[in-house]
Amino acid sequence: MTISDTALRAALRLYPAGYRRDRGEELAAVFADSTAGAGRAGALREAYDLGAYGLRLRTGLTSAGLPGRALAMAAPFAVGAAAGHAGLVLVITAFDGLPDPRAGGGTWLLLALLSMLPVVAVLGVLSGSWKPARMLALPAVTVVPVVGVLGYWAATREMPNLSLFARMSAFSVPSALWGLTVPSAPADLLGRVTWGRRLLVLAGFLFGVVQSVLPGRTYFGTAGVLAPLPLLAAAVAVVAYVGVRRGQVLPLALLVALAPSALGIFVVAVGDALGTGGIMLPFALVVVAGVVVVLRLTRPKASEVGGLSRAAE
Amino acid sequence: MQFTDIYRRMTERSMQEPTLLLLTALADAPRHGYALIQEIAAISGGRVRMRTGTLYGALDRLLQQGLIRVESEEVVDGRARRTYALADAGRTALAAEADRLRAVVAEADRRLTVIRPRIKGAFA
Repeated sequence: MTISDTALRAALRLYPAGYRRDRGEELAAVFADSTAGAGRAGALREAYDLGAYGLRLRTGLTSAGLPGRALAMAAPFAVGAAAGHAGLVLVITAFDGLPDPRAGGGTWLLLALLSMLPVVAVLGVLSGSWKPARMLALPAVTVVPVVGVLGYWAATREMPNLSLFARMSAFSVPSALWGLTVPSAPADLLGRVTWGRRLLVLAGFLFGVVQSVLPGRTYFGTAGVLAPLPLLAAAVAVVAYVGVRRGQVLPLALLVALAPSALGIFVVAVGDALGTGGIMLPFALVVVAGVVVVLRLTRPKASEVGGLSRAAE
Repeated sequence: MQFTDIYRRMTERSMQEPTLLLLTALADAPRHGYALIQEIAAISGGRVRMRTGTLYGALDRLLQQGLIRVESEEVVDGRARRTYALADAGRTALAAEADRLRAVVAEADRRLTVIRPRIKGAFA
């Protein structure tokens, strides 16, 4: 068995069983034609793309599904908000610590470079390309807590304890969720970056800055100034539920855009209310809620596969 | 006009490129998956090389939107092959997009024609 066969089998395994039964042979035939003479790297790239669509089918994040369309609609706002939340705040945090001359220069350079990832992503979108945002979102999201720890270490020469690390991670929840919006959105729906989308990016950026700078400047304290935000998000959640029942995309897109902010504030605020070690509880709640959502989404959707079959008839 | 419509017009004025390329590739004849990949590469001058997963993501969406339909299913050389064709709604949508693009190109040509003599005059 060649590497191409192995990659194809692995990619097809990611598809819902119904879809695989219906289209598996056809996908395999197109894959074989596309990778004929393409070499090992070409076959692996093709298999990656094939598997990615299988995962999208499983999670409902296709360009035909409501969640996928909502993510694409919220993506311009999210990419701006992620940059506003993570990039700017991390740069400010970095500069806050700079007066300490004993701080390692290399650490600060690394901090500055990592902090720039979301900013580079947003600049890419503003200049008309989604590619940097799609490529940098995941690394940017992954390194945010690391950047926080490095910043703390550079300023204090001590590693944060578990509670403080959880608090730093909780602070980066909105940025992480916003960052994940862009690669999760179907690429074919992101489309051209119009002036309307650029305005949404800038609106998101301002929102991200406002949402993060205030609690950020009080060293991850409660976000009293923005207390109405979770209430607003709860109202949006109700509107989104009604909208989804009616098959409307915009209410769900609004929820995708605002929920990360509300979640971040919820985690930090509840943690503060519960005391020093209490931050772990809401953090765990958010993780459990995320796992439940993913498990529900990844259940095979008989109606969707059936819908495709019906459409194909 | 509903807020949703305003938002859509603000953010999505024209047809997405993969949709435009796929509908164009099917405009003159029904085609199967791999033939569509080749045709799209030819139409875009080699700029767009659609991969299998991306292609089927777009095909599924267009099927669901009723812009294309499955023309036939057959087995060729032991391989399952499904041929796709443009549906009436897809033909209408493609014609409307072509009209829109034609109007933009005509306007661009007109403005370039107006400005060219001015540029020439400046260097005369």
